[in-house]
Amino acid sequence: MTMTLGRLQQLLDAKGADLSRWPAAERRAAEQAIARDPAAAAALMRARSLDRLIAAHVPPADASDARVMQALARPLPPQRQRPRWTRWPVELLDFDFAPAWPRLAALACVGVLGFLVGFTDLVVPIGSGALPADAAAAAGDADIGGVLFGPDPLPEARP
Amino acid sequence: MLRIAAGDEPAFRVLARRYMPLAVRLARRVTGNNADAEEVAQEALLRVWINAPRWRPLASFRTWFYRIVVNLCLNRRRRAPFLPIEAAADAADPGADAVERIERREEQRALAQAIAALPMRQRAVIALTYHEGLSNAESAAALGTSVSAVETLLVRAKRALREKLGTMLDVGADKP
Repeated sequence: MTMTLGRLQQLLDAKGADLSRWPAAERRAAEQAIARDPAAAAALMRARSLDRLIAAHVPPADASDARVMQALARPLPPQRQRPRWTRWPVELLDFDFAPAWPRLAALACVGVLGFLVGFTDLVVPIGSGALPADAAAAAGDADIGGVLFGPDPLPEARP
Repeated sequence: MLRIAAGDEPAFRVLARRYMPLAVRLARRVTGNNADAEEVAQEALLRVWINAPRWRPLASFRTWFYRIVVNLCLNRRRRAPFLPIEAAADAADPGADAVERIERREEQRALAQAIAALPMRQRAVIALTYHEGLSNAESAAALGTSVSAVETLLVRAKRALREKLGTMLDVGADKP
């Protein structure tokens, strides 16, 4: 698709004269237009010149930083507090600033609990709380393949 | 920020020292004068302190802070931008010869006038993208608007600057 001079100028203004920062499709179309049309090449040169000029612009400054810090040295006003029950999402989401030890401690507790449950064979079947001894033995001897894939429907049909 | 939210004043003063130059610099570019810039920077930092318990860490602190500063600047429309032309900074290379220095000073003066004539939102977007180094998407987040709105502001601002600066850009285009 060919890019008109107007569209090129609009993109140069919106995205800057550094074509490497443009989306690939628009960059390719712009490069073709610039190679083909001297007016497009001139528009790119002018856009670069404007970008350079703006970037180099330094407004006049005086020692205002010190005055601001001096003003902030006065006693600070009271903060606006959030209701207590709305604070926990902020504290949970604040991964960058919250100390890591509470989360690490929680993870360690879960790990220890899991180990204890597995090691002491505390798992109890859901339901009555205990199986009859023969049912438990049968379950222990069951073929895991049969449990997973169901019994073979026609074993005698095999060669 | 959690410490500041908990009322830790020394933590706030550390943050204020770190972010105050950014606030003054941005506010100076957007409002166009030092007095307003100082007031905006001071007010922005006080707002950080006051609202710290309500801050949600969903966006970066810097983006949130840019937004406070820009909003405070935009609320100060009633004062006209003031850029002392004589005091315009001389960005000239110290090694350059006198003629070149004068040319550059003239360029800076013309640019300062052209930027001062822009509407404040256009000045804000120029300051964020060119001087704070934000992408269009980051500028949109700081201004609380869409990327396409930021690009529209940039297009309008640069069109106005091109009209004001005229042939100066053709001369600059010849330079490497």
